[in-house]
Amino acid sequence: MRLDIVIVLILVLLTGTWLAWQTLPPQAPGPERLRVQNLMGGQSDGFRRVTEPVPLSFPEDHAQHPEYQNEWWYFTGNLETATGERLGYQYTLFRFALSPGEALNSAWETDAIWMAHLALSDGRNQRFFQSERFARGALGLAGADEQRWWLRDWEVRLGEPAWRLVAEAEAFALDLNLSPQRPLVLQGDAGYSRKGPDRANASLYYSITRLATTGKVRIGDEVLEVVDGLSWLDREWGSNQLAEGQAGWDWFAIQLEDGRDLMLARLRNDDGSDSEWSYGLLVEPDGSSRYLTDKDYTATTHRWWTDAKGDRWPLDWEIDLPAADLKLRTRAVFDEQHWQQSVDYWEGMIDVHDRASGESIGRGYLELSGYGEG
Amino acid sequence: MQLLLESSRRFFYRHPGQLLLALIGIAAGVAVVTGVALMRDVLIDALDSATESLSGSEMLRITAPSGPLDEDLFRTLATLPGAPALLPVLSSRVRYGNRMLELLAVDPLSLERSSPVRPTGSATGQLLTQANAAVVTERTLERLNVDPNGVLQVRHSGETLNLDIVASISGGRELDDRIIMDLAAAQHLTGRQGELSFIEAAAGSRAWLEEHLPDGLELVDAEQRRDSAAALTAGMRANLTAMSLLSLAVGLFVIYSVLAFLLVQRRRTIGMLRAVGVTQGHIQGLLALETMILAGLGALAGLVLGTLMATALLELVRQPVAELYRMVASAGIRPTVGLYAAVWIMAVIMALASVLGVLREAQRIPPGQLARTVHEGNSSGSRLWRWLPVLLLALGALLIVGTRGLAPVMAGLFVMLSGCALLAPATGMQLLRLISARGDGLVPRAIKMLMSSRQRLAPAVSALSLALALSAGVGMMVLGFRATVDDWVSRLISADVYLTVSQGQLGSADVETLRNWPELEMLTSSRQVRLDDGSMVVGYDLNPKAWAAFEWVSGSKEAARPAVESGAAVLLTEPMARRTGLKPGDRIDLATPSGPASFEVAAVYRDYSNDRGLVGLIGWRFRELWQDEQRDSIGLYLRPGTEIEAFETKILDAFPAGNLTTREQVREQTLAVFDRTFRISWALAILVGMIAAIALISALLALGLERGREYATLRALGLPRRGLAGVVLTQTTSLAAIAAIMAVPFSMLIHAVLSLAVQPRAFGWSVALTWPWQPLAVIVPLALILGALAGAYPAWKIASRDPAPLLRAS
Amino acid sequence: MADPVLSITGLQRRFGTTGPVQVLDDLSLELSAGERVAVMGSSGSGKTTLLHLAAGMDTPDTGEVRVGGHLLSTLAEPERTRFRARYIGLVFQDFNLIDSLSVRENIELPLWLNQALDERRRIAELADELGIAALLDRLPEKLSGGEKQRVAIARALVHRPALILADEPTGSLDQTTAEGVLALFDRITRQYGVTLLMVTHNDEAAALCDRVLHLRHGRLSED
Repeated sequence: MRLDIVIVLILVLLTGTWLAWQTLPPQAPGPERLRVQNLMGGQSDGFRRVTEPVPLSFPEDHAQHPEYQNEWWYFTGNLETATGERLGYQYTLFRFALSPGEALNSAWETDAIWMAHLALSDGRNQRFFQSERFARGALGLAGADEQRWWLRDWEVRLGEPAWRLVAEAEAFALDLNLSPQRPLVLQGDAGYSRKGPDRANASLYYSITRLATTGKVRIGDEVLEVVDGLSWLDREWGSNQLAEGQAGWDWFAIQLEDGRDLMLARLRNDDGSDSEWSYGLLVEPDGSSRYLTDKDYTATTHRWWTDAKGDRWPLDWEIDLPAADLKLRTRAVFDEQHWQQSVDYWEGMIDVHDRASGESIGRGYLELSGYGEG
Repeated sequence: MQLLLESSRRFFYRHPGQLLLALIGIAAGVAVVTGVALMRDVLIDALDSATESLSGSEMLRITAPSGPLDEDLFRTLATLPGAPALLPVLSSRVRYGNRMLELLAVDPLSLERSSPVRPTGSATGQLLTQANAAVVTERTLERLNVDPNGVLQVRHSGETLNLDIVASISGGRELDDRIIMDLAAAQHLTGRQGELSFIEAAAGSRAWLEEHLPDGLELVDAEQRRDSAAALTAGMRANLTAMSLLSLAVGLFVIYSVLAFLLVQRRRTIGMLRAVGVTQGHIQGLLALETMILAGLGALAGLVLGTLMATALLELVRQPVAELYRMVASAGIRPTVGLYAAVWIMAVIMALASVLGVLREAQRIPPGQLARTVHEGNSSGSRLWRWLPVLLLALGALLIVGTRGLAPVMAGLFVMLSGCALLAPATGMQLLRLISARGDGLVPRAIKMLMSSRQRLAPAVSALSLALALSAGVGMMVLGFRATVDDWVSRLISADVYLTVSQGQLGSADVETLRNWPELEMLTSSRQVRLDDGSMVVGYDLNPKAWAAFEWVSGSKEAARPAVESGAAVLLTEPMARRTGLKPGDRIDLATPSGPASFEVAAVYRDYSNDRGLVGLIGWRFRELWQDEQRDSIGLYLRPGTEIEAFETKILDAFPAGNLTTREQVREQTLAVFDRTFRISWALAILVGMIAAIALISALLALGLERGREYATLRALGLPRRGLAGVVLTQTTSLAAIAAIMAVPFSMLIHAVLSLAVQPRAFGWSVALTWPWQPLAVIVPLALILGALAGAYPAWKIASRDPAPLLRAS
Repeated sequence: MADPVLSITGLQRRFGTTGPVQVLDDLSLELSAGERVAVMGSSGSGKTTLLHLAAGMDTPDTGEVRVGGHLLSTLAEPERTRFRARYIGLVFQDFNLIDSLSVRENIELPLWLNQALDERRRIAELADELGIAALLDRLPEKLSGGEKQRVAIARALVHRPALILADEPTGSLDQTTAEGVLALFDRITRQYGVTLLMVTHNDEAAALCDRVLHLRHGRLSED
């Protein structure tokens, strides 16, 4: 071809490209992820620290503790429908306090960002639903008091005899009655749960490990009757819990058929190794409990799952707890119970088997954090 | 075909100037059309784009019929079971120097994760806790020339706000000139506690919202908002569109004149090609293909130029939109593939249509025609052709006089201008011939020599005279309109000074206080409330002097006052009356916060402040219906002999946030807004003028090439260089003179149509027809200078050319 | 003896810069008053170049051109132009009439250029002589080839130039017309005692001249 024609064609091409570029919608940068490290560690000036056991009293301590930097109300549970099908759910209310600023003359003034996570695992077809919400702690949009923990219309009411959890997202909804089966149990040393070398790397922590659960679950337009289920509540608050060099945790909440409940929090160092500050709790059917340390148990990964992004998650585990005579294998009911909103973590229902007999001896929830942030 | 294309390629190689002019001509025309189309879209999207980019498109908006929403509504809705995602927004307008910016306060935690301002973004914490924290786009920082992390000093209701830019976000042109803040901080700073401007909700939540929304609130979807923005800016957009089409027409004249000239140049070649057996179809195919390539390339360049131009001129449109319609339009244009494609295709088709005549002429070239000179056919023979201009003028006039809409008047103007375009060259040449018929000097001879090219030059003369007429006509209309507005505002403002204060701080109590001041003879006051459709309701408290200041368009002046003061009747402004079709004696229904109310129309008065219209209501009735005790301004009539300085001190003591504006200042401000509104018209007029200059230059270059042999003959016969340069200059200047002479009546026509027909139909007000002479005084000499300047280069070039080579027998 | 009307000595003219072509090479020529000379030569032999040099529309590389004793080749361009207007009449092969001017106005041009419009009566005289009196108010485009050339001849003569330069005056005409024009040209040049330099390759045209020269390899020769 002639040079001049080539030049004209190139010019036309360049012009066309420039014009096409003009018509592109402006590219907004991708959403930012929250990092567990940033939420749980770091600056905590001006907030009260947890350095020793603090006497807790109820129902007062069900309510929020604004003097601490962060706090959560964490429900997980394994449910069964009338037709014997399995569902899992999670409802969490987080409070992240803001550094105190100027006093603003406005009803919208807030001292905290509230975040709620609502998830449903549908065991029938291995579908995972998740919904995230934020609100400011103002105008009654979000909060937690002795009777009610809520973010907009998602709420838990602490009624008698049962509590009620109502939360409706677009694709799914929960309406559950929760009846505590056991008194609440204080974690760590009378609720003082230490997680690092500094005494202040700690939180105040209590749980209710068994709440009998019934109610209704909506998935799309389908309403399922929940006839049986066990939920678990974790309540924790503090400032600057994670120590430097800690990357995240693997958290197990297991309800065994023999009536015992087991919580393991395996803290992980940046290099992936087990932290010496890992801990746990074994609750007996009578409600008595025993604090577990790093020395009391081992947890080894049995199977890794790789998500679409390429991050690897340890979904199946082998857990040995000699003191309780437990050799367990835990298995994710399905892999895709992966949170991908503002925070990247895995939270899902698991089956618990006895390694020797292979029999199912319980169910539980597994939470994996700090894997998807590389 | 290959061979034919090759021949045109060679031709352009030899005459790159011609090629360039053809490309520039079409590019310039397309550029103006593209630019205006892009700016029009900005005017329509103005209301929406900012919040859309924050909350997503096609959102529903919850608004109150007049005034702000109570923030409690958000609390109530957001905590109801099954509530959809809701975004509370408080929008305020602030000034940064001369610019109007929008302070867009939202709850960042109610935003979607995909929003440019993320709930989990690093700036959120600062936004929520700092009273001055604000986020703007990087482009806004650049536009305002503010450092990232710097301080943005803006004025709101007479107070200075120092905003800390805590983060700049990328993307989102729609967010240009927006300052994003947290609701708490914005309420704190602006003193608008408890208020929300509106709440946005996802489009799918309509059913839920309709069920749960309290009575009296409105749910507006994106389509309705675009419609209302479109209606609001209709007049302005019509104005722009007309200008852009006219400039395209001028651009097409350029391409026609270039292509027609190319044909002349290649007559020999075409004759030869026909002789060796190339069919007429082939020749026409070649010319059509050539036009398409030229127009296609030129139009492509025009799209680029237009995009750049729209970006550059957008400010001229945005500011009046902000001032007149209280909308901060997005600072960026949003081109679409559809728009580009449409403009491009239209340009190519119109170029093809414009050269149909050239194609017909090519068809008439007999095989073997080798003569280089063109015999100007006796085309004036056709009777239809001779009467066509008159016919077009009559048809155009009929369209304008016989219809009521805006579109037909535009069409009518276009038709009339086509008639003018046809009329211009022949009439102009006739005139010139009359002037130069006698005489032996160089000038008459030069002009006589020009005559034989009159058909060839006709398109250039048409283009130039139309462009000049357009520039002058628009200028006359603007100046005439300005005089009308000046007259109106000078008459309307009867008080000595006007007192205003920051929003919501003048009330009935203040009026009572002032009434007792000994310095004051009388007071007036008013309160305006903007309705959804952009029109206003004004509550007036008037004294006899203020009543006398009204200029009545219809209705009985004597009867109107008692009727209005009784609260049973209202006044309408002329645009309101025209838009609604209401006359004195008719009834008008108003939706008020206290429910619907019906009034009789007492009279219609002149007003140029709002093209959507005003309804004037007596103050006590307004306060009763709107439950609004506030006043926007109080007009103060001083007793004779009052010391103005002392009085000012006293006022400012009593109203620390008060502003006093004198009558003269009100007038100046009004005219300043007016001038800013019409800057875009001036800019477009200048652009059209520039395109006309291109038309002229291209015609002159063609003239130089076409007449080369003649000029060489004159040189050979002994005409000195200077003499020849004189001939060429005379010819170019007289060409410009023809155009300028013809432009005078045309511009008057344009002025008259714009003032008498377009203004009333686009904006609703009538403008008194006056004849400002200044534009003509500028344009006519300018055209002559342009003609001389445009001729200077070819004159010098031609005169310095060696005659010998041109004379060698070909 | 009076000075020659046209005196050319040692004329050299090259064209082009790379590998220049020597068009005229040491050419000399003299025309005395009333003398009519034809220069013949094949196409590209340099006839037109010679004519352009003689008219002062081109300047020689070396050599001299004198017309009526004035050294044309050293004059500046404006003077040459003025000189040409005054002393030289030009007849072109394809007439070079100004289309937009009437026949009368075309003929009038040299008078205008010499500020001699008061001699307009000559136009009518010449038109009578040349048989174009009836055509004076027409536009050239309506004329036949022969008529056009007669107009051109009138234009060349109207200001009584010392020298007429004719370039192939019958080149664009058919045989019959050419003969008529030649006869007329012969008569009128005799009648007015015109000094004529005509370049042509037409024998009949050359025949009306007193002398016929041949231009070959840039020089003139008699045979």
